[in-house]
Amino acid sequence: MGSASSELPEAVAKRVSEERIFSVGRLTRTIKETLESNSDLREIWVRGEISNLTYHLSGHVYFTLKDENSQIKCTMWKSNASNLKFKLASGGKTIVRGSVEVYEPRGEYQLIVKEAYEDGLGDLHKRFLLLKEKLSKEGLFAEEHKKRIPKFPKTIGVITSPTGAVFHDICNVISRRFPHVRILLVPAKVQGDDGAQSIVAAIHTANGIKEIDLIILARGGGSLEDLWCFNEESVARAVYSSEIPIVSGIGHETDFTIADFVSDKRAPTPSAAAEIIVPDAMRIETELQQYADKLVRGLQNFVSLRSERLDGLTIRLIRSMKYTAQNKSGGVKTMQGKLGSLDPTSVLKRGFSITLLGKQLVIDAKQVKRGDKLKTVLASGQISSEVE
Amino acid sequence: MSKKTRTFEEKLERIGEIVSQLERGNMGLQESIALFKEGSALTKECKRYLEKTELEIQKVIDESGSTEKFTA
Repeated sequence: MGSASSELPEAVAKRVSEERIFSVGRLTRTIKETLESNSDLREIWVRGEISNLTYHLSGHVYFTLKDENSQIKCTMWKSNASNLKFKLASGGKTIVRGSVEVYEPRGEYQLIVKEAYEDGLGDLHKRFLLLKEKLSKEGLFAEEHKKRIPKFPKTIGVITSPTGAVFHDICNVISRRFPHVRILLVPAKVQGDDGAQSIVAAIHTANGIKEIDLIILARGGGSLEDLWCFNEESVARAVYSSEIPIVSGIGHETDFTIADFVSDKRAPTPSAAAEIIVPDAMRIETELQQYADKLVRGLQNFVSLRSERLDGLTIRLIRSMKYTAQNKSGGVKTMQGKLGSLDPTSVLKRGFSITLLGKQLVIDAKQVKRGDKLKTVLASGQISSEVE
Repeated sequence: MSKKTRTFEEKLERIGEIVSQLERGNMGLQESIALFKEGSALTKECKRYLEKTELEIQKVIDESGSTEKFTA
């Protein structure tokens, strides 16, 4: 070191030793360590306006956040930028969360941004919560006020923008699932200052068309401001007082508007609303065919059960007739036997005979006297004789 | 029974009832035949509805509810 110090300019050498002179790298590292270890500069929230915005091809986003007096460079890595719920915009008032870091090669400090939010929405959000609470207390969201959604609507009123993809998407889904309905587009402005008024008017119009048995209230995705008209009290009240059941499909799955809470059923998206409100025609046709088969089988079963019973009864009837007949014929023989024993000829066959005096049966010897002519009847033939 | 005012949904429900009644099979012949006839007629009506009703897309053009064919 001794030799190195000797190379120092005299003015410097007088005041500092060689080892106390910083390299740029060491200075930068010290700055980096100082800034990055300071908890006041880590995981902080910063409010400002965006400028010099670059969405890089790599997916990283670079911009400057500034206010009237100062500015700071900001970097948002791809992994965080992909979670953004909105598109950053130059001039946009924004609140970000991140940490200060130093980029040594350039000797620049910057804010590494992890999250970013649109600023100035606080008021809207507050209004949303207030209205939600108010209407909830009034019972506008209550389950008992929800109207029943018909399973097979015939005419569906679709309240949405006549331009844009939403109406087409809805028609496509219905056309694929159950192309046996009438769809009535009731056009409305679904964003902007007069959006709410237009939606309210459309709900009234739809309620005046008596064929409509179900309404879809739909709008594609957008920012909170874009969807704002669905958070207006007038829309909420119109949805509530609609005589026709309303299914809402507003924005994306994650968007919940006041209109969604009041509607009779909320679908996560416009297409999902279409999906929910019509049945699957293929399934219905299969079901009908099954019913038709079951009807025929039901009747066949009915007939075959009874004809089996009839067969069984017939067999029993015949059997019992035979039995009776047999019984009866047995009786006849007994009778014949009994009758037979009364027939005198059978007695004669056993060797008995009948003795007649003239025409009188002789059953007592006292009936006859000597010299009477007797006739003896045998089983076959007769004998004449004279009493001695 | 006001058959004419029955909706498609009510018809399907009625067919379902008839089928289960028939399957239970504890009715008289005449009653069974009547149910079978009613069920078959309703099934045909429903099938015909599906065959004949085609998707129709219209647009409401004023507040009174007048409509015209919707063209994209």
